[in-house]
Amino acid sequence: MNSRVEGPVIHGGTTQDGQLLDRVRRGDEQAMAVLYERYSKIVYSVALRVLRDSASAEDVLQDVFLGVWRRPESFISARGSLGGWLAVVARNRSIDMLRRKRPSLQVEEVYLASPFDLADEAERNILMQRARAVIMHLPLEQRKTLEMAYFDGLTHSEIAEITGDPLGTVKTRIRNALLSLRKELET
Amino acid sequence: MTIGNHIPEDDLVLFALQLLPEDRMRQATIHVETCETCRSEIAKLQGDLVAYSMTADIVAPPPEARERVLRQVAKEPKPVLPPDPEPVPVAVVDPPERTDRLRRSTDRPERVDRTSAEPVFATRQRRGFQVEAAEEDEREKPRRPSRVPWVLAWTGWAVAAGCSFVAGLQFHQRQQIQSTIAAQQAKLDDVTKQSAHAQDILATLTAANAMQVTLHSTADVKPGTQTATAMAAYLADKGALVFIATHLDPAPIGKTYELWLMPADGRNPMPAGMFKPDAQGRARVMMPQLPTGIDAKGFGVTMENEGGADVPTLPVLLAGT
Repeated sequence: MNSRVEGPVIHGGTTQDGQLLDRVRRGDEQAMAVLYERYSKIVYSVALRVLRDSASAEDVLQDVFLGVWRRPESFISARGSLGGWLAVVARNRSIDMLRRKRPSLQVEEVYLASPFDLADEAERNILMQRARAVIMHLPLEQRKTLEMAYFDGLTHSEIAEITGDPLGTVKTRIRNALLSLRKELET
Repeated sequence: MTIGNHIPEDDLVLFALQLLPEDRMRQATIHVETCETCRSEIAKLQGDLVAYSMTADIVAPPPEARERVLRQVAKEPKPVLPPDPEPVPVAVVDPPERTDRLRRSTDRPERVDRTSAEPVFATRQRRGFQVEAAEEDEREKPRRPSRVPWVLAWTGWAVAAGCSFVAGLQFHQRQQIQSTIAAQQAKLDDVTKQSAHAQDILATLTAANAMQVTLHSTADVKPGTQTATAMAAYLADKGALVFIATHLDPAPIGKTYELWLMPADGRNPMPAGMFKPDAQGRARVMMPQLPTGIDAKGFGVTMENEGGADVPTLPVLLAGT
């Protein structure tokens, strides 16, 4: 029933993120290297998507992982999946860089409820495929609005200015796009 | 800003995206700190954003980036925390005067065996802080040397510092080597797994006793269009299956293609993997987990709800025997 690429394969047996973070807390560089191997692609890809510049994306990559090294306690298990947290933090840092803002104070105060185990490469691949399929089928205006907000870091006012849509419409589109994604991924 | 003490839904999304104007962001942050409802909704939205993050094209960072990060990590050694103390079997006999007090205040046994032992230092610490600290101090006082030549004292510190430095250096080097070995081992494991998987696929495709089946679309062929076709190679004795399809239509939202193995002995079709085509209409199922020794008379493909089905839903879209 399970297939390696397309089917719902769930692999286990990897060292838990929490254990690795605990080792990082104790100054274990080896644990840090394992976390890097596990999540650097996600962090770099999100940063590259936002910044569209490999050098800047590398800066964000370094910034995010050094943040984990310096303050592993920033992430606690109650905040959900480490991979997801890193993806969101990478996006937020990238947007800050894009907008030449000082790092957001609450950038690490991200609590997330995600049923996906991004530590598992197979599950990550499945999520990737499914999320892309859902997004491809969203109404074009919803897709573009969400893209502008998340990957381009444009505020709803800026999006409204660009698209000529009312502010309320922009907000609703972003929300509806995310809710559609959630609904489809829950099925 | 808030409705009935809560942040409006649309603003919650902007909060999660960190795109609210600064003053509203500040207000919302204060509210969220004390509002479980809003915090829970934001957590869900952050989960959605994680899923959305996965739509970015996945690109591996250059190898130099890894070296850069780990080099920087190595430059910033952390204060090494003591490892969690191992429970050590130790017989602790309290001094008579203290034992009497402890017996009055707690039921702690005089002797601590391995199963119930607290770490040695913890036991000492607790005693030090919780039991008659003043008495302890009094007892310690006479033991302290009244006069120590300062030169000797500083020499001791210097030697200790030197030893610590050397030990730290060695520890650091060992960590670096271990880090490199671990990373290389992880890569090697990945390559080994991929290689074994590729060999299994190749063996299935080239085995002399493999059943080779071409699946054709059961739909009417429209002139000028390319119909979906697929190929399956199956080794019954190993339960190994390789399936490749082309020119498939995209699966509708909430739907998935599912491959079925039709046993030769007339039993019900067995699910053999779900798949969705890529943008070019190509899809594959590689080495799904199938029981061994099931002879097949053919294969079929149906469209099912996301998550798959136990029995195929008609119509069969592709079939081959």
